[in-house]
Amino acid sequence: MRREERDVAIVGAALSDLGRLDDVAAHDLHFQATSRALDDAGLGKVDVDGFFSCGLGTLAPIEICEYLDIRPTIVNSTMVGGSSWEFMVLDAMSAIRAGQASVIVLSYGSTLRSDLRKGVRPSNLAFGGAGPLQFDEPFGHTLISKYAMAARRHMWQYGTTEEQLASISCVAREYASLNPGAYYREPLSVDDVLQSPMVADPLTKLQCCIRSDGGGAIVLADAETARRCRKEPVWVLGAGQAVSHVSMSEWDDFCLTPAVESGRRAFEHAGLKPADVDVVQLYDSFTITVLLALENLGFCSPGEGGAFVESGSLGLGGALPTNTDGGGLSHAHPGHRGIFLLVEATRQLRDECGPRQVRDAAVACVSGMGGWFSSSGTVLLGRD
Amino acid sequence: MEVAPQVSGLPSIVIDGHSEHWWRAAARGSLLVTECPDCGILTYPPRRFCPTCWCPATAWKRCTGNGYVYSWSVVRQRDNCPAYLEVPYVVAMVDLIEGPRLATVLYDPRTEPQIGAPCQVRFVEVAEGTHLPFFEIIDVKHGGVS
Repeated sequence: MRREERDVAIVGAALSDLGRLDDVAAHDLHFQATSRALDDAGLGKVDVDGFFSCGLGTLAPIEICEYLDIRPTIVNSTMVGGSSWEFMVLDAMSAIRAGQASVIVLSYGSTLRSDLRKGVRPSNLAFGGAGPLQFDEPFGHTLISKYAMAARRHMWQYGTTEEQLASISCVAREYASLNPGAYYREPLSVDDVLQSPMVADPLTKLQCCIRSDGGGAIVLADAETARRCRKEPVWVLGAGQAVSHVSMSEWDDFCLTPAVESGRRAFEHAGLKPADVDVVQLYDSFTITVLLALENLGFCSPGEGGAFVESGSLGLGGALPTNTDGGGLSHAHPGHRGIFLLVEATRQLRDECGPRQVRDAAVACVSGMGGWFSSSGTVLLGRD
Repeated sequence: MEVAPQVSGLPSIVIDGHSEHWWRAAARGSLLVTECPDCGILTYPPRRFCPTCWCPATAWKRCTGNGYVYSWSVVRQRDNCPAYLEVPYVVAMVDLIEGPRLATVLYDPRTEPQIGAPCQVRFVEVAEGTHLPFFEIIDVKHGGVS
């Protein structure tokens, strides 16, 4: 249902410390992110009505709320993978429009990197073997191999090349070189990417997201609150959610992700088209994730993703600047990256990005992909 | 009949009163899916009910074991996978000729797998008493399905 009003805005956005944080608990990253985002908005702890978070602590998000001494009136702990925060934006928008809250915080914090180093958890998570999973789990389909099979299918179906996939990593690194907060900033060539160790064919190590410690938060508010916040509001113009599969055998077409539906719903909700978008933040767990999202959201035609990414379109001077912070491929990826997409999109629309700023960015598209193409949340943001 | 809750060699697998039949059939070299008596749709992973039309009962159907490779990848870095697997191993999605798609492993592929290649189920005992349906690419030069 299309609405013309600009009645829900992102009024605060911030990141926690990032990168290599061996001595910090994820809970403290939540404090950093949430307090910085509220400060960014010119709001305080007492202003928070809703608190949305997932992935950490008992009875999420109650443990985090307790740790921060926030007393929310509503909560949400939607956990559909890295896209959870994009899903939460729609839910927050709905709650604000329904008058259930004026201010809602979305917060994320994770010590993925240090947890892996300490052996607290494995890289490839297992989800048990009960119910339908007992027909998946025995076959050793690692997370990366699931993405690899999607890439292989796209290459077969459309002739997409390894070089085209690799170019996505190179563009991410170019943006990272312009972002002081990015973890990896040295230039990368297509050859560097393809020569890095093969993890699961055709995905080489440099086509996979990095592992980081870190977090982020955004603050959403109604229009009345937005007017008294520190910065110009970044309006939520529309949002859409879509879910697909957990068993890869239940996924019908490996070239069509739930981004087809989440994008369609978001654009319809906002009354916009892909051509209206100035800057895009797409989940980049792997290079193939970006390529499929570009096609499925309608930024290029099915099968043309390879040519599109190779053409320079994603770069700063290109037709569709994408992942301007350096992405999960070069900036940061603590496991569930969705909040980073929202923070960077907000900063772009506020003209805060310095050397990586997209000139005159007025409309941003944020699209998070969760699980293994299991979920997709798309959000459209705009400034006055 | 006592239902053994665990599968030897695969400690995370939990068999239930329905799936137990699938695992016993696998031990006998039979690849089963479930079939709806109302709408005829074949379902995998198997279920007691039909997910398409919600008919509350299904029947077991034995498949020929013939199928085609839908996609594949060679896993080269071991990462929290079942103990019996050693890298490199080839994961694949296979579409059975009867319709359903399976997650599987390709058995000893000699050449790089091709999407669309015909293949046939080969049950492999990965731990004592535990048999899994792997798939073998059919060598068309020796009279396999073209």
